[in-house]
Amino acid sequence: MEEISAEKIEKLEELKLEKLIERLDNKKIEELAELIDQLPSINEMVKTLLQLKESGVLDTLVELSYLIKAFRDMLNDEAVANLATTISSAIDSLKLLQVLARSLSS
Amino acid sequence: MKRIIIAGGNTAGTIVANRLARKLDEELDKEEVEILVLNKTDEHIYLPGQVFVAFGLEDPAELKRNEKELLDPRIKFLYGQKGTVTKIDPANHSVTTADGSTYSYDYLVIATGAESNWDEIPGYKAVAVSPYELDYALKMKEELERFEGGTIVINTAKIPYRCPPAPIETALILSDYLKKRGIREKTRIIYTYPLQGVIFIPSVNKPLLSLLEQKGIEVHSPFNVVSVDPNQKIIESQEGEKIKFDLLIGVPSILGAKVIEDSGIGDKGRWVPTDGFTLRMKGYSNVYVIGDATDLPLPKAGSVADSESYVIAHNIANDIKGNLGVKYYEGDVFCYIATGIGTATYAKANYTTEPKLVPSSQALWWSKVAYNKLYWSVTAKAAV
Repeated sequence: MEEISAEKIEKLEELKLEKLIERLDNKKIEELAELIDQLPSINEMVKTLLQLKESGVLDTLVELSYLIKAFRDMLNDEAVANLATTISSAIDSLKLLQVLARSLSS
Repeated sequence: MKRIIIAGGNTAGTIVANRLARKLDEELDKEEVEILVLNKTDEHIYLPGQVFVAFGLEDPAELKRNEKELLDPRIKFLYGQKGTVTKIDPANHSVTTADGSTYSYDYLVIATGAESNWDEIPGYKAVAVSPYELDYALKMKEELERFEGGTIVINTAKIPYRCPPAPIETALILSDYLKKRGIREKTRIIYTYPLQGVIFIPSVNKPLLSLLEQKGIEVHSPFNVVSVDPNQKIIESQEGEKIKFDLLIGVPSILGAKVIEDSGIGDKGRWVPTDGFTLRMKGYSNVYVIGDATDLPLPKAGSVADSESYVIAHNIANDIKGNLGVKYYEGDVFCYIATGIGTATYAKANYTTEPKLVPSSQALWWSKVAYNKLYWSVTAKAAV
């Protein structure tokens, strides 16, 4: 296999850099500048994320997000409507019980 | 009065009957509609919980309920000779039961389920334990408690079989169970499967194989069992492989109910030809088929019956009320899969989307355990 010379590598890297610079328009440069201004906050955020990761909280949150996805995948329109009807009936029954309790105590 | 007959109880029959009662609430109260469930027994068994029973993770009493108590009180229920359907006659809109009674219907839902084909493999029934039937699961629990090390073979005999991920769940839970007992290293677990791979669903084959490998479970496939020698404890495959075992956990293949064959309405596997979108029996507009009884290329699992019940109940209610519109089944399947003791994943699929597994977690295990417990008050009663 032909060995790539250091000169060639340098040239390739220059080309890559040129390509990257070509993609930068004024809007993107402004956005980059804004990002640099936000670096202290970003650093804070990364620190917090690392703390969450180290303490296991992040993994728990990820697990819970899959649990929520499971509930969503389990349900359909009719099941949600039925669930809402059941909750509504339960609230009505609770109110009725409160009225009964009040009338019994008075 | 319109009569709806549900031929068969347990998961599919019970859910669809209760969902119909919910949809036809006023009509039932006004006695414009009658729902009649016919079943062999008055016992309802929650089949997916049997895997847990086999490992002592569930009390067997928790898996049984009285069928009548699960049905809406307005639903009529017959069991024993009076409820055992011996003939289904769709051309004449009638069913006959073992006591000789014939019932005519306006709508019929065939929920006759599946039967284990234990006798298909010589020697299998005599020696295998299994998480697929309660008696066998209890035997499996006893055998496992006595087990002190050796070779355990988990064999899926042939396709189709109930609940496709259950053999894998069994292997993964077994590994953890033996580890907890301190005898995992003294035990070789061999998982055999009749097709190349560990499950017939290509999109989940690789991740499930990886889970088995992570727990040091050997996979031998394809392995089509031809016989079992109960005395020598050897299982032999069509491919020429012979494995000596100390304990055989068997997954029998299944057939549709005998009544389907006796009525001449099924294919050679006793499955009823069913339209995959309307869930009507092919050629009959007032006969629906639910759950394991269909010939659809879907897993034989309770969650399929649950999904199908929405469409069947809705469309019968629409036929009677005339103002609800028609629903079509899209092949929805949702299935929890235990990946060990304390972890689980799940897969969801339909006719157009292949199932994919989400990462295993304890939260999904808890969700699976809760789902099992909520079955009696939520799923079976069609509360959602």
